[in-house]
Amino acid sequence: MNHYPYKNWILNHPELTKKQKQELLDHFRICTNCQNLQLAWQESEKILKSAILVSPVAGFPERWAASAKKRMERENSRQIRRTLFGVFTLMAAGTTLYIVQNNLLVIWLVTALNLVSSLIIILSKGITGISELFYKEPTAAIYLGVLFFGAATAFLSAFVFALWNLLTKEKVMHEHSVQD
Amino acid sequence: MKAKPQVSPSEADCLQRALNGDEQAFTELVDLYQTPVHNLCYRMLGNLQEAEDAAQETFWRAYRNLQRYDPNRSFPTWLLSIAAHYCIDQQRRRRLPVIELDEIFEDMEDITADPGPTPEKIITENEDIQVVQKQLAGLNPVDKAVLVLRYFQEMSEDEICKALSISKSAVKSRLHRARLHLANQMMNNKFNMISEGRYHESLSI
Repeated sequence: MNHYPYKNWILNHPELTKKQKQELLDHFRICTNCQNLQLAWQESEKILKSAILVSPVAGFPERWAASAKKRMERENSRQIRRTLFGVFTLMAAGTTLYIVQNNLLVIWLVTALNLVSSLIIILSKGITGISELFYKEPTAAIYLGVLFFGAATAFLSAFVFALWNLLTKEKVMHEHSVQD
Repeated sequence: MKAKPQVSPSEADCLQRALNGDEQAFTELVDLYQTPVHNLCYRMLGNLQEAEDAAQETFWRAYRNLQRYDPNRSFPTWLLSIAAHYCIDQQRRRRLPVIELDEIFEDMEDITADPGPTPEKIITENEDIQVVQKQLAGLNPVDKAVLVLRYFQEMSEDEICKALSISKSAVKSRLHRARLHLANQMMNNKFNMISEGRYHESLSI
């Protein structure tokens, strides 16, 4: 027997026509399952309809306002960190791009290797040889010094800032969880 | 008693001020709609602390997205829709909702710290909450949301469609499934009670 129409009437159609009601009653005479379903649903519905409204503990708007203020402050500081991180990343990316685009990296590497080998040779000859090196290639030394250390500083700053950002974020989250 | 929030002229004015960026006006809206939102969260999550957090989160999300609110839509429905979606996500995250009855009593103790209700009333309310939460436990999160919106917020099927962004036929089928689940649960409880009675009777014999 197909019980679906009866179950549908029981669960979804509280307002039945006279004919439908009679049909349902006739069905109940031969089907205790549907009859039990009707009784159980009536009881469940009664419980649902008579359920009380659960209000929050007094002072909810004040708690909300305080929490919103804290969240706003956290979002602002997060925004500042993001901006600074973006600036540092852009600086590092710009430097990298500049180095790659101008093939400076190869030139610097060659120069650096030259310098290192020269240095090794010169150092082996004695400290006094350094002055000779700068006399021979003064621009290369300055180039190398400024750009290499400039790039290194930018990368190091980005790294240190990323680390600080992570640590601060963790600390804030920890504080937040403790507060919660 | 059920909550069917309707926007009165003073509420509309409050809403308008909040839309214009008045923070105090939004706090007034929080005050106005705290009970329906909290009630929905509590019925969905079954725990007072989680309900408080969910209600706070709901108002925060509403506040942050206030500019996206369509004034042609009902504000309480929009708010309850945010709450329902948040609670569904929470339920999906924890997967198996566990309602600790002891917890409900403990939570209720906190709530009833207010000297208003009498001990008899507290016991009756606790029992009521316990029975309702027991009924809702085990329902699929979306089915539960549909049922809670239908019976606790007295929303129409059309309003539920809009609030949960699902079709009307989906609302109907989910309501049917939730009702069937509740009825089956009720039948099982009765059966268990009868079985336990028989067991105790046999022990006494």
